[in-house]
Amino acid sequence: MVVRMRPSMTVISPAGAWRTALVVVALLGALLADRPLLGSDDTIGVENDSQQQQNQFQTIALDQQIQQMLGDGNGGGVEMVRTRAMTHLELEIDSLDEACGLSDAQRDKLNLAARLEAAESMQLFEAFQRRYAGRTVNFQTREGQQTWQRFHRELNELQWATSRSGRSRHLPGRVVGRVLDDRQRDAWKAEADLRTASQWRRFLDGGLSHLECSVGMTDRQHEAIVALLMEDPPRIDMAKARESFGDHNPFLCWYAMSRLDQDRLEAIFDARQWEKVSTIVRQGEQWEPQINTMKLIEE
Amino acid sequence: MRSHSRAVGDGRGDAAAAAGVWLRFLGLVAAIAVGSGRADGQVAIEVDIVEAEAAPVETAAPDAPEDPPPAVPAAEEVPLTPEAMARQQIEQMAAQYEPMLMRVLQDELELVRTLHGDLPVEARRAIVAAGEKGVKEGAIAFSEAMSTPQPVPAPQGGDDGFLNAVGRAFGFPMPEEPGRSAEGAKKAEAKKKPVDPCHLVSDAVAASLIEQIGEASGKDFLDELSKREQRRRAATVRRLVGILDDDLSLSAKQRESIEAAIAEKWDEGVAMALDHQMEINGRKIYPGLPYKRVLPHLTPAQQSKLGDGKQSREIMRSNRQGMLQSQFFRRANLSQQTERDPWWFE
Repeated sequence: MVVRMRPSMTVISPAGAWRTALVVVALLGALLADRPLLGSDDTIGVENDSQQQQNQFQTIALDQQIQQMLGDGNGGGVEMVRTRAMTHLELEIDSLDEACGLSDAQRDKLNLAARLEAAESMQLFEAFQRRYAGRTVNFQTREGQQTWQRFHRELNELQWATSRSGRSRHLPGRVVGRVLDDRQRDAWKAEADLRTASQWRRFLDGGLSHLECSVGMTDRQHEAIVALLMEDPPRIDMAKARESFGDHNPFLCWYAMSRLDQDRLEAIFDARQWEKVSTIVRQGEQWEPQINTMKLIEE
Repeated sequence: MRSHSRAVGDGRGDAAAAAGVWLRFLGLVAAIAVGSGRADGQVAIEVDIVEAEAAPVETAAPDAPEDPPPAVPAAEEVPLTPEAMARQQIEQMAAQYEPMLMRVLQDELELVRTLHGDLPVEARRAIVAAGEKGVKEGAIAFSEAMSTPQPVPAPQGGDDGFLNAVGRAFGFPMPEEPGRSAEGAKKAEAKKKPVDPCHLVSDAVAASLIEQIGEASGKDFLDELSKREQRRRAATVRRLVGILDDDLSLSAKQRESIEAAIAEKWDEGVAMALDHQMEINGRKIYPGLPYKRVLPHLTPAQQSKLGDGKQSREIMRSNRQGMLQSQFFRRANLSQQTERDPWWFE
């Protein structure tokens, strides 16, 4: 007898029933083979396991966090902080030299200031590291949560204090005015103004790229609004703004639009577009309290 | 589940594993027994694989009838071929990209409305229909590009990579072997160019607009698209050079010359450097940054800090899909159109 069947069907003669039973047992065995035999209540094992996993995510070793956040996680630690700080400060001094031509004596003074700045950064970092050495935060406890919050607040302050992007804040930046002569100071100021303008332009790019999509802005309108916004940029601490928002957020541009002469701004757009632009301008106005709180406007 | 039994670590997992081995062994014995049943002459089991094209091999038992068996009914569910499954996946991916591209379409329609606020209703409907078609095609094209196998980064010796060679030998769509032929080089170059679904949408709208109002009147939209593209590229370059400035303390002259050098030979991959910066062993890596064009404008100290870009090139070679995705998401995220403009859609 030939029985033709589809792959999903099975036909066995009555004489082979014992074999069928054996196959069923074997299949069940194969299905259950990977399950652990944990006794009468399997859920105990599952609970233990999930508890272990939860605990793993609920505790954090702060030493490890510090290494990852400040030392790139590769064990560089304090020495890496110092090397980075020095490398960057030396590049800034090179840039200053390129712009206004430093004498050897002036360069020595600025190098000394850079070394002091790097040493100060190291001291701050080492103190922070000592404070949290060997500590582990347990998020299940209130104390652990408070420690974690304090750790992050202090880490942010440390990163801000040792940041290399705020030239006017670090030591070489603060002493440069007294090291340079009048001619050099003018050249350095002109260079600094160009940098500020280029940073401001990047903020404008961030805001206008959103605006042009929303209101179907033409090239002519784009050029007109850029000219208006570049006329008198708000005195925003660009380095601080970038650290707070990133360098391509639209909010600072919208805030600046809210401070423009609204009649001149409205004249750039047609009535339909202005309806949308004015909504964006109002959003920009709402950013003013945050900008003031964060002290982004330079004195 | 295996890791679970290891985690418990009390020996019960080992007992389970041993039991499993025994049960599998029993299954094997059973299978042999069933197979040998055909030799007993009690019953013959023959399976016709319905979907197989080749005729099944007849292994009839001695008591089998000589008449040909009745025709086998067609299978109720035909499993998908690998090609059909791949297509299905592409369509599922495309469905996720369509809403993003719809926002891009609304942006383009907004620009058309700014330029041609007096379009008749019929023309508007036709342009929207063409745009929606562009959205669907763009989503499919992008999904296809995203499904293309990634090239395997070459080892540092400059070899093309063993896995690429094996892939080619088996006929997979791997990147062409470098220097193999002029045609191969051309193909490899074409593959490097990322698919931009947003451009497909813009092109669809532009083509339809020109069809509706004529080339002379519709040309202004094309001009605007071209200028907008230039603006976006310039903004990308400015932003990238600004990031380098933070890292390398560039002078104004250096910023200007680096901006010009990058813009001179534009590569869509430049935008990768904005989204995928990373730090390896204390050095910042900018995937997509054309190091060879930037380095000549730097001082030796700046060059030393930036590095030669070898790691960046390796990352770029292996992350074409990442590049495609970041480009597209960046563009789609610019759109803020949340509601359909009734002027177009009603």
